[in-house]
Amino acid sequence: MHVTKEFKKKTFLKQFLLGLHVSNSISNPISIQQRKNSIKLSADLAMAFARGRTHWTHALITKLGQKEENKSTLKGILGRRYEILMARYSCPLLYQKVQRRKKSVRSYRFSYNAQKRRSSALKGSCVRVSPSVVARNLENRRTKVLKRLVPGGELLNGSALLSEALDYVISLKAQVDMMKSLWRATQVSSSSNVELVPSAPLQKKDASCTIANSEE
Amino acid sequence: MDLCESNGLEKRNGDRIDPQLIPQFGAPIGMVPVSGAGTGTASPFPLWPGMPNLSNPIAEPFNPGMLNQSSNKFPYSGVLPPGLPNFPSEPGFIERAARLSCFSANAGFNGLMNNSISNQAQKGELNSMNIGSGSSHGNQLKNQGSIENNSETNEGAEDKISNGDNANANGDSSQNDSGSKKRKRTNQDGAMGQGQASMKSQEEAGKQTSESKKEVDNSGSKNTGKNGKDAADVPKGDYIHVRARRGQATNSHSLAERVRREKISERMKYLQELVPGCSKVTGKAVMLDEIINYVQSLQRQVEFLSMKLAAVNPRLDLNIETLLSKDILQGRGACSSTVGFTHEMFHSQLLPSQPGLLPPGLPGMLNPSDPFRRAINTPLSAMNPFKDPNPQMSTTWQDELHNVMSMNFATNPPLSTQEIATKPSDGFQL
Repeated sequence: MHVTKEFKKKTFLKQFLLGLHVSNSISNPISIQQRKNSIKLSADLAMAFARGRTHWTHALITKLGQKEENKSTLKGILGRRYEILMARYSCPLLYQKVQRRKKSVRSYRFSYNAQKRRSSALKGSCVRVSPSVVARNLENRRTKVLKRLVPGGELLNGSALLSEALDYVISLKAQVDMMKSLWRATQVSSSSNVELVPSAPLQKKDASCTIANSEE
Repeated sequence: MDLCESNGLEKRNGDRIDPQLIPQFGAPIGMVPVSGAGTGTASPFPLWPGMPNLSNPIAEPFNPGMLNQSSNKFPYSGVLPPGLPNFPSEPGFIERAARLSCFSANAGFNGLMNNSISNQAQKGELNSMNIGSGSSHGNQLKNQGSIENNSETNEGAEDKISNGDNANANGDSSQNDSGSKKRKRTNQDGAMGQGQASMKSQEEAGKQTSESKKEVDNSGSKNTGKNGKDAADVPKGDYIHVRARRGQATNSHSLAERVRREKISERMKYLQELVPGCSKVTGKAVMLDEIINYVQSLQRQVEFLSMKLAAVNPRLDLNIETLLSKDILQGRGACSSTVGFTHEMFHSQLLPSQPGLLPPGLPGMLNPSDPFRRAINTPLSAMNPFKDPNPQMSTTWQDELHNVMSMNFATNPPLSTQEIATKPSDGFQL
């Protein structure tokens, strides 16, 4: 496999914490939604940084950077690198191409459907579509969905899209794992701070046992 | 191929070659000709070393030395304009594809030259191509030429190189090939041909001819079958030309297609391993569906988790930073993402409902960590709104969790019991 994730966790954590710190210091988010968005932003950025330089990471960072509300946070996190990154990785022309392509694809599809309608009108109710065509349509539809899901996927095709999706899936999974561990850590630490008395080991063990038992 | 495919996609809608995307082709050859590439200006490819000045209507023999670009083959990671994919470099594949596609490239050129010179006069390379390839194929090309203007112009860029030595053989095949590639795959394959043809056409001359001859029968039938175009008009001319053309036409098409399919199936295999529950699924469409579902579920999990973390947030940065930053950052290096044997054993002990992954071998370690693990496991089970498709998945993040837990407890001085003191070392024994 072309992806090794061994160093991702350290980097992810560092970046994540940094991002949280920055977002909290920059703006004091009031609502949970805002906090959630800032956390998500930090997490995505951390994932992208931890992964390194791939197509989807660039696309993701660009996408995140283009949203207005994220810009200040990004600037804080990236510092000087922000300007460089934004200049380098945002290529509006490419995305314009994508837009244009989409329009023509739509028009093509419209004409194709029109043909099908015409043929069905001629033949009666049933349109004879061969199974390969059906399979191809299915595949095309799903490829389009995948393209939308994977950041930067709209520009890719075929095996490149699949490899980017692969990489993205791995990173996503690692991100989810890390966030889960973090959440657990906060839970346990908060519960331990509350319930466990920092004294003799035996007491602690009993306390933790009671907690565990009660939870079970 | 991916380069070409993506570029071909651009062209599929009849656009001219987007100069911005040209580098995708040029790049593998070590070129980044954004400005003049493919626009058919006076000096279309000034950057290609050894390339004759293609603006001259008189064809100069293509410098075969141009083809010795293998060293320049893969600098494109630095050369690609921003936002373009960094394709995994597969030299073998690119060589193969170049081999295959140079024929098509040449053929296309020849066809274009004779038939639609006006359109392609802009492209100097076409003119030069004309001379390189015999004009005997002009007849056949007439059928194909007009339609292939778009694709051929793309191919033109690269074709000139390949034309040099393989003019005849390549020309035939490429003509045929270009003719056959009229509809859907025209631009795509042409693009592919361009990207790779130029690189290796020199070296592959002999091979190509033999290949084309071999593939003649298949290609011929496939050609007509697939495309149903006039491309099947067998041109006269000497045997080699005919055979090569028909062979090349579908040869490069089919071989390139096969290579592309192999690549895709290889990726599919990786994805099958990765996406849980896909080992039994076969077929691209179903696999794609599974992948899509998995990606969506992961993204939803991220949202959910960030919401959860947001709920804790006021304490989040404080706790997390203090507790984790010191130890986790130190300890993370030790704890890799690989599932540790010890953890699996713990988990198999503690979660009898889960399939026992390994026989528990460390009962001594279990006792002190029992309360922790139970504390870990209960929130784990509570977190099952994340649909955990596999017990192994939960095991892996239990490992994670365990690492975090052990480190967490290690940092908290009040919790440093004797058992806990041993735990970090245990936890790090992965």
